Formats: sequence, C-alpha cells, structure tokens
Amino acid sequence: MSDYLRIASAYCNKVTVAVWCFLLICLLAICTSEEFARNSGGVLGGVLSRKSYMAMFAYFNACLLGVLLRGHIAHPWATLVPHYRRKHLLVAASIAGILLALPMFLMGFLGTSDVAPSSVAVIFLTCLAAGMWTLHQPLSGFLAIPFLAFVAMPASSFPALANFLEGANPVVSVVLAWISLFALGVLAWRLLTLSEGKLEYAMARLWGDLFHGRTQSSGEQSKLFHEYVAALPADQRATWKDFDTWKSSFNNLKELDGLSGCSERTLWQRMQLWRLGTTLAPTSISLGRLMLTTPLFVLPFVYLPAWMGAALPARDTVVIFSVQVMMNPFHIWLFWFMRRSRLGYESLRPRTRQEFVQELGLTLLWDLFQCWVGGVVFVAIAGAIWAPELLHWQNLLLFSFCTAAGQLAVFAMGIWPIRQGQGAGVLCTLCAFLGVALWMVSTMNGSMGLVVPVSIASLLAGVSAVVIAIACGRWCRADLD
Amino acid sequence: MLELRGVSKSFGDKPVLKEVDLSLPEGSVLGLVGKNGAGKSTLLKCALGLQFPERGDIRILGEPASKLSAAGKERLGYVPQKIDLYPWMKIRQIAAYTGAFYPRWNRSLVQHLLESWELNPQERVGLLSVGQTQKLAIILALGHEPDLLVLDEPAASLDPIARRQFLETLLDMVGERTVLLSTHITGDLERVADRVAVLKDGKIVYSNELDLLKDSVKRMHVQASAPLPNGSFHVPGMLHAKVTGHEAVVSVQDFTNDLPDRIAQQWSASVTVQNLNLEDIFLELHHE
Repeated sequence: MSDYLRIASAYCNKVTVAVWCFLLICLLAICTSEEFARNSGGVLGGVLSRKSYMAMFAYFNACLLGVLLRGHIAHPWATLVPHYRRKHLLVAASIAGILLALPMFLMGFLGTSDVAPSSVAVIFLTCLAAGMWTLHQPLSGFLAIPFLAFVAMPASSFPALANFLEGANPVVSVVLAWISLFALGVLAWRLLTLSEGKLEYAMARLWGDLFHGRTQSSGEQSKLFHEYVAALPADQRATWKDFDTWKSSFNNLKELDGLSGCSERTLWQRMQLWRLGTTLAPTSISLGRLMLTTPLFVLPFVYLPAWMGAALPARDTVVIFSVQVMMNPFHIWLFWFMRRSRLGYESLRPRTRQEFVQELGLTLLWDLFQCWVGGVVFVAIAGAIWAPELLHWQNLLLFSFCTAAGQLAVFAMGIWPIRQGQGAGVLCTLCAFLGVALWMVSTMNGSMGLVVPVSIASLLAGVSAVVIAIACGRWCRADLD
Repeated sequence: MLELRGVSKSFGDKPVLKEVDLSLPEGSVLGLVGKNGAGKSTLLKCALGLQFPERGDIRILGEPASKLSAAGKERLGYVPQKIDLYPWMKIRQIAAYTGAFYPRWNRSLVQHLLESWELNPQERVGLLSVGQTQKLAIILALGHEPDLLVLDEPAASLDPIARRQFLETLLDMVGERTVLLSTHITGDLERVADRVAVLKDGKIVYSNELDLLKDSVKRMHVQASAPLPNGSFHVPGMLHAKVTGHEAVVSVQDFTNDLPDRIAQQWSASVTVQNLNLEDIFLELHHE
C-alpha cells in the first residue's frame, strides 16, 4: 500500500495541483454562470460553454498526467519498486477517476446543466484518451485538432452536437466511449511493454525530464534525435545523415559571426548581445513565422461553421485571431525557460548581478513587447477584413490596454519563480496565458462592458509592476547553479 | 585572491557548509578534495557569488563575493560541473559570442587551444560529446586569460590524453594565475596543485601546502615483541589503526619525526614509516 501512496504523492506535486486547481476554478466559474450555460451561438458561444470547459479540464490534465506517467515509467528510479509499471498505471487510473471524472460529474449538479451525465462520461473518456496520447509520440499531436474543434463548436448551431450533449444520441456516445477505452487500453499495453529502444521511451524521458527540470541542456532534443537516427538501420540512417535540426534560413548566426571582440556597448546593444544567447531565431522572425501559419490553423475554425450552415458573427473571427495572437509570446517563453539552466554560468560575464538581472529582464520584456505589438497589428488587420465596424478607437484602445496589462501580468508571473523545472515553469506561464486569453474572450465578447475590463487591466498592471520590482530583487539575491 | 571566513550554507534543513575557513594566496593552485556530496561545488559557487551563504564572509579578488563588480568578473574564469552551453551555435560562434563580453579576449590562444585539443570550429555545440563539451568550456574559461580560474571537476569527463593536455595547459599558466579546482582525481592534483584543502562533512579538515600534508599524514607498520591490545592501542594523532596480534598498521596525522621512536619505546616494537600518495591520504582522512 505504501508503494501506491508514494507513487501517488509523486504525481500530486505542487505544479500538477496548481494546474488542476486553475482548471477546476475555470470549470466551476463557467458551470455556475447561467449566462454561459445558455450556450449562445458562434465560436465564442462554443468556447464559453460548459462542455468546452469540461473538455479542457479533462484534456489538459490528461496531457499532464500522461507526461508524468510515461516519465515515471521510463525513469530508472521507478524500477526500484516491484511491479512498478502496473502500480503506476493503477495510480494514474485512480487519479483520473477521482480527480478528473468525479469533479466533472459533480459539476452537473451546479446551475442549469445542458450536458447529460452520460455525455459527461463520454467527454471525460475521449478527452482523457486524447490527452494521454497527445504527447506520447510526435505524430499523436494531431489529436489536439479534434479536441479544439469540439471546444470551438457551439451546440446551438449544430443540432447533432446538442443532441449528443443532451444524451439523446446513445449510439454515438457508445461508439466514442468504446473507441476511447480501446485507445486507453492500447496505451496501457504499450506502457507495460515500453523498452529503451523505442522512440516512445525517448519521448517519455524527454518530456518527463523537461517537466521535472532534470534536463540541463536545451540541446537534448536534437541530441536525442541524432542518437535515434544513429540507432536506425543503415539504409534508413542514410536518409537522415545530413539532417541538421538547427538549420534555418532565418537565424541570428550571421550576427554571431559578425561579432568582433568586446567594445563599449550601449544598453540597447548589450540587450541585443544577451538576446543572441536565447535562441537561434530573432523574435521578429519567429513572430512573422507564427503570423504566417496562424491563418492555416484559425481559418478552418472561421469557415468550417459557416460551411456547415452555422452562423458565425464577424466579431467572433476577430476574437479568435486576437486570442491566438495574444498567446504568441508563449513560444518566446519556452526559449527563456530553457535558458534558466545557464543563468549561473552567464551571470559571471563581466556585469554586476544587478546589471545582469536588469539587462536580461529588459531583453525578455523587449521580446514580449515585439510579440504584443505584432499581435495588435495582426488583430487590427483581421478586424479590417472581417469586422471593420469593430475598428473603433475605443475598441482599439481597450484591446491594446487590456492585452498589454495581460502580457505584463504574464511577464511578472513568469519571472517570479526562481527554482522550478522547465516544464513546471512552462505550465505556470501557460496557465497565466490561458487566464489572459479567457479574460480577453470575455472582454471582446462585450459581456463585461467597458469599466470592468479597464479596472481589471489597471489593477493587473499595478500589481504586475510591484511583482516585477520584487522579482528583480529576488533574482539579485537568488542562488544560481 | 580568495578568502572565506566562517561560511555556513544549508539547503533546507540540510547543512552543506559548516563554518568553512579557506584562503587562497595569489599565484597558487589549490586543489579542493572531498567525497561526493561533501559540498565542493556549493563552496565554489559561494566563493564566486553564485550562491549566498547564511553566515560568514567571502572576499574574492579583494571584493565581497556577493557584490562582485564587472571588473572583478573580467578577471574570473569558471568551468561548472554541469555544462550547458548554447547548443545551436557552432564552436567558432560560441567563441566569438563569449569573446564579445571580455575586453581581454585572446583569440589566438583560443584558436591554438581548439587546434591542439582537436575541436572543429565548424562543429555544432549541441552535438558534442560530454568530454568535448568539457574541453570547450575550459577553453572558453581560459579565453580571457583570467587572473583567477575556478574549475569544478574540470577533468572528470576527459579521456587520459585530453586530461594530460589540460594539465599541461594548466601548468603553463601556474605562476601567472591563481587556480582553484575541485576534483576526485587526486593523481591530477598531485601534478598541478601546490596547496590542498580537504572538505569533509561540510568542514575544511585540512588546508595547507600539499607537501606539508604529505609530511603530516603517514602510515606506520608496528611490529611488537608482545601481542598488541586490539581496543586500547593508541598513538597521538591517530586516524585509523588495524591491530592483528603482534602487528599493527596505523595511520596518523600531525606526524613528527620523533613519533616512530616514541611508539617503538612504548610498545617495545620496531616501526617503519610509509609515505602516502594523495589518494591514500584522502582515503585515510575519510576512513570511518
């Protein structure tokens, strides 16, 4: 019994509990709000509905549970416990049942529910299966697409979906439940037979180590890939021989080659120099790349409902773009989290600790600022195309102010923790981003009026400024590795 | 160059350094030895101002370690135990990037070391082996010709040839620079270090010249005419003794030249003295 408790305590760490609490609060808020429970039309109505929050609660927690489960099973420490694979699977199944399924069913008793208990069970099972599989293999990432489609679909525009949610389509429910159970069974079988030679094992170690901050080198992924290629049969290896995971036409390597010794630099030049140590691509390039690919992911959500006969308010299109683009800085954060393991080494460059903290903090802030400006411009373009009536100075100011305050809050939250694993830091920041995104959806939906969002934004900005000042002081006195 | 006075540091409830005193004179090479988990890396990080002790005073290059100036850091080179460089850069690029921070960056020295240590400047850093990465980190730490070089297990992942090359490079620098290195490879330390500090359970149990340590810790073989008492056999400064009938093998610290005669007289025995190398001394000092 003690083995099971020890294993369970390894899963229920501070970060997983924080993520679970955050998602549960979101679920609770949406379930108790009668306005959202009405499930209005459009993509916004789809996202801001009870079934979507149930799906998000199950899916995101399942992704995390999957990472932990695989990470533990693939780690040598786990082998010290007899029958460790079976025990880990049982603990993971118990956590899924008690901490995910149970709260979802209990939500059915709050407010006016539009989701029948049988549908709750199907949503739980399908999202659990999709979430657990999503990071299992590189190709299983496509499972996020049906999940996102389900989240974005408004039940009021799709009678079949409304029927399913009411529990009036038992055939579909039974089929989905059986497919999910089968997928979970296959996953369990693969985990019971996981061996070191498999790519799944390497993926499990990688994600597990990232989450726990055990990966010191940000080059681990590429090294892992090269080791994987080296282990392939000769004929397959030849195909990948010259593949360079870092090769990119748009990078800052020319700037590195152009560096010619040390000279007196302005603050701006020093920030540019620090930036070269963050990642391969300049912020503008990665932002541009993201903006080019955004329509590929967003436009299907914009046009699919219309194609299927569902009405899509013009405002929704702009909101979808705004949320996606305001999430942009998240990818910059990932590189900065990877840099954390180098901070001790880098702090010995000829700058005082205070100068080091300030210059690096400003460099990160500049990265985020570029993403924010790019996002605002992008949303303005989307507004001009799909909803020109929204391009009113008041809307633009509200949008700019609220998103700037949101980004500042995420910045404050992101730099606050000093000693956390990369994965843990990423999750905390992701929660902050989700919070900002959901708030933006409500703000842009017009349901909050003008005074409330401005007040919230002002409060956020003020609190963030204080948190940033305290965080800088903490970093100046922090133990670095 | 470096002065630690009464430094204590703990992680949570676990004390790692306990009232550590250590000084490093200019131009010396000090080897810091200790078991795994003895607190060597923590001591080095505290000395560099990377970590902050709860108590005590640390001065490095004449400045408080916690407030080391930019000019002070220019005179400092550091190779950490866990090395995480910039994986996407090529070796020549990482050298240029590091050099951009230091006014005294010696490009020709870096070039020379890359060649003699067989590192291809076109190679991607992320694909280097552990040993190659360690070589590169050492070169980057030497590039600005620091006055004080701090190395945390610098040769741990190097093959014997690379280790010999590294030691030769280090020996070339002795006299000009001050070096503080932690290592498990005591043989390497005997080649390069003139001073040694032994860290045991968070405390410095010895810190002085290496030759003095060798003079002070000895092993003696005692051959008595009568059986020796197993439990009560004792000599001054005894670290450890193994008594078997008429014979005893005893290791001592604070050895003096008259000690064998005193033991011979006390136990009516003949005593032979054995010199120890640093590895044996390390083992004797850590004998439980």
